[in-house]
Amino acid sequence: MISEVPRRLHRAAIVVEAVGLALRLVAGAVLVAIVRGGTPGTAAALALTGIAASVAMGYMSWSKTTYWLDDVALHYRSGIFTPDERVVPRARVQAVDTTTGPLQRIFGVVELRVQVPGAADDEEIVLSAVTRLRACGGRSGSRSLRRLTSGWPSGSGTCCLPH
Amino acid sequence: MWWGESLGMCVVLVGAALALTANVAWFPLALSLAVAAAAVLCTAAVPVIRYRHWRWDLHEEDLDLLHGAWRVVRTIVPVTRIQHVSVERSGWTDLFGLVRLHVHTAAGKTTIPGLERPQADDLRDRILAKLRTLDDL
Repeated sequence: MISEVPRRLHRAAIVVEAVGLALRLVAGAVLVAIVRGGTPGTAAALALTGIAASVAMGYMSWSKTTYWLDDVALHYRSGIFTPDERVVPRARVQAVDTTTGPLQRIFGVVELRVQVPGAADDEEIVLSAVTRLRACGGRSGSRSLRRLTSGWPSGSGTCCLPH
Repeated sequence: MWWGESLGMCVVLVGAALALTANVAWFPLALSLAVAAAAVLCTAAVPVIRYRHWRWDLHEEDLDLLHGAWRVVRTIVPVTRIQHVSVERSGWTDLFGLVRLHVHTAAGKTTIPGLERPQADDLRDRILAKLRTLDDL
């Protein structure tokens, strides 16, 4: 049916990843600075370092994350230094979530989460930014990632957002 | 029912704001009062917004859930992947005559919070009926 070359996530994934990391790092840094009684200057410096590090990490993880679909399975490869590849047979996909947070909305992308049996919540396959068209397909929803992933027949309503 | 969880968060936020004022010299009282007020306001408003943005529907071949205003989450569970369905009651939900419906797949469960009891029973029966016919194919 289809066989794809490995493809990367939408570039918005860099931002999504970086913002998530930065929020954690910066909150931590600022908290440490407050509790330790540091000056606002130290806190700001720590925060800036945190942001820079997050952007770098976001870029690296984006450049190392690829996914592709073939006739039988969804392949997902990620990891900066030691990339793991996971292969999920389409017939084993249990459910698909699409999440549209504020950041995703800015870039017109969605986060696609593939629920896989035997994996804990944090082991789900998360494609943090794919275009809405790719996730949900066009008006008919045909060729959408969410449908192709699980091999659902066409005809049921599967677009991501209410219109 | 929807106020239950946000009440906990409210208490935490108000507590944190007051603690900051008490322990950190430069943290102004006005700011912590503002935080506390905002927390109370959110506690009142957020559950209403959450409730208004919860939608679910059972289609021909899948269960379709849509919720969230700020972060919009849409979950689609193909009926054929459903393993079992459970209906949960607790003292808290009983107060309102509501139940939680959990739909279990091999990968975990998906929950519809706050269905009325007859509605939940009906949905459960419809899902099970679909499973029966789809399995026969």
